[in-house]
Amino acid sequence: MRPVRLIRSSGFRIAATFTSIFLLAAAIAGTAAYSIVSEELTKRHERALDEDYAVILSSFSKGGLSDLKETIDAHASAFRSRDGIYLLRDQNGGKIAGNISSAPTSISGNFVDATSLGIDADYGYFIKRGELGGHSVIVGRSAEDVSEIEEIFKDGSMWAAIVLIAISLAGAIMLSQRMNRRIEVIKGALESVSDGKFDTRIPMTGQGDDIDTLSELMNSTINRLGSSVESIRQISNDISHDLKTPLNRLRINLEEALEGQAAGKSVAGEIEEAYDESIRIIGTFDALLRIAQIESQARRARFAELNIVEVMADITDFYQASFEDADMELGVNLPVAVPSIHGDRELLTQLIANLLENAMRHCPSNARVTCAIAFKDNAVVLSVSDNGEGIPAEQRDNVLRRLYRLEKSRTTPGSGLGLSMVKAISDLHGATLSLEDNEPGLVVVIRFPVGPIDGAGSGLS
Amino acid sequence: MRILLIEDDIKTASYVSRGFTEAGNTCDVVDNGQDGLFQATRESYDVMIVDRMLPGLDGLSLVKALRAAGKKTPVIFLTSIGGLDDRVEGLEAGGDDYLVKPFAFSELAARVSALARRPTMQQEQTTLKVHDLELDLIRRRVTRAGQEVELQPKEFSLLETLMRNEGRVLTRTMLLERVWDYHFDPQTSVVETHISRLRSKIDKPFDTALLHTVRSTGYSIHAPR
Repeated sequence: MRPVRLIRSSGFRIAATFTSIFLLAAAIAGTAAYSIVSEELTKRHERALDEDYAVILSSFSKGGLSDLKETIDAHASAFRSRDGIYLLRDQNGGKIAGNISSAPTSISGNFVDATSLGIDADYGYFIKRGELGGHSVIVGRSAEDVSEIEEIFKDGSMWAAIVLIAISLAGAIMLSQRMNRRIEVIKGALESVSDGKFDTRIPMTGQGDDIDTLSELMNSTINRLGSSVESIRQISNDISHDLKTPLNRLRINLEEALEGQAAGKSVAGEIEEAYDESIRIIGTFDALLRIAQIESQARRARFAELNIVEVMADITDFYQASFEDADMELGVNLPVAVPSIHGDRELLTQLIANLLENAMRHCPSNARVTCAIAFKDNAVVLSVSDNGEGIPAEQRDNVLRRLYRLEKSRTTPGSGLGLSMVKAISDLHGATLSLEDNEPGLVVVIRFPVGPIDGAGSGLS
Repeated sequence: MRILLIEDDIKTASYVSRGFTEAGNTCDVVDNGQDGLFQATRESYDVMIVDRMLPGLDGLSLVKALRAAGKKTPVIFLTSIGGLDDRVEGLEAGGDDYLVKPFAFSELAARVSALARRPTMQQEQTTLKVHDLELDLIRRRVTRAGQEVELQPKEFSLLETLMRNEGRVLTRTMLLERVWDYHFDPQTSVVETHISRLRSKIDKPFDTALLHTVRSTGYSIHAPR
């Protein structure tokens, strides 16, 4: 990873920001701790000075100058001048007793540098002064410990900062590399999607974090995009493959008509054939578009609660006469009540109509077709069964494909789109469609799970 | 009938307007939305045929504007948008009927004449009568030449729809929509079957046929001419 990219990566930035905030917090805490400690030390020194001065004062008031001199000498000899200073001077500033030789004549405040007291050190002294019988007294305590504490704090916090920065920098690099690896994976996946590979999925870490949530969303988007593109691709294939044949037939009809006309024959028959062919082409085209629209899921906006038993009763009533005319029996087996389902009445009507027309078209006369609705295992189950020839097990998947027609049914009318529309409508409703053996015959079973439909990330409006 | 056709495809426009003119109607053609709206508000028409995809102002917006202006001229949408929701959208925008291209002229003509002569204020009719066939809407009874005819409920609705449009042609899809409220295209001859059932009850036992098939268009009920 190049340094610039590392610094720009969001992982690094988060870590850097966090480190700065942490350093600032540590600095505030350190300063506070230092000032508490140094204030406490200062107070102690001041108390000790007060005590010393009190002793000196009392010796003067009891024994006069000689006692004062004695006391100061005693104190001065007990302390090294580095630790504590004592100085007694006469009116002219001449030294009478003490462990330092000079002091600034005019000192303001209670803190002086070591050098101004003639001591070679880089710290200061807390001092207390007084006038006793014309003599001036200076008592002082070294602030060496305060300076040392300050040193320790300075050094300590510098090292702490260095260690902290080093660790968090390492953490930032690690974190950003980890983030970058995941982002690289997502980037790679999206690049592959933009190359048209819609089966690409972003792998999940299973941690359930925000990136996982985002990946999941992206996956379902890719999925939807993929199925839209697939549906467009499929429809253009269908059109190019399966509308070409009838279009070619139409052209032949018209060619024949033109030839016939040139030969002076009546061409009404050819023109009528061409007309019928064009009607069939339009029908196929409409059905293809309709399936594509159903598959786009936009129709869900108009879903409503409906009673499927009612829909079934109406449409079977509509087809009853046609079945009788075709010498077939249409049985209807409806329960008194089933839970309502969330769906589109018009499309469900079309679904049942397609199944009935398929049965009517492919079953021999005297066949019996039965429509039933039942409620079991938390699903409303719609079935249309017949006792015709059925569909061989190995072909059952194929018949759901668009324009697929069993070889033997090529000669019967129909676009070959009936079952794929049934499939599209049942998918739209979140239902499962299965073709089963009715022994003999075919049974088409559609199970509508009761409760809200959970579409593939689409969300209901 | 005065018809206003708003259609930008020249071929379709001339095909439709020629058809209506030959049948003795006046058909004005406008090829864009803005002029169409202007023409529709300036003059009075019996029916408007409006394409949904128009340059300038699309058909839906045109009809919405027209309705907002208080014009109640019946509108039939003509379009190649065969979408599932487009019919509903068209009707919600204030259209009265909807026909998807490509269409047969006979289908359009049947729908236009059904719209044009739709009575604005339907007086409360309790019986419908065509020649010697009578339909009692209150008692839901049908008699022909005084003889009672037994009909299934849907057969009764089918006959009622035909009789309310006496003398006019109703196409297969119009019957599907109006009698059964179905908007799909059955691949088998279901409507024909229902018509032939009805015919066997109201026409077969009698001398004269009242329910006529209009070739490659639809059905019409009328007294013998």
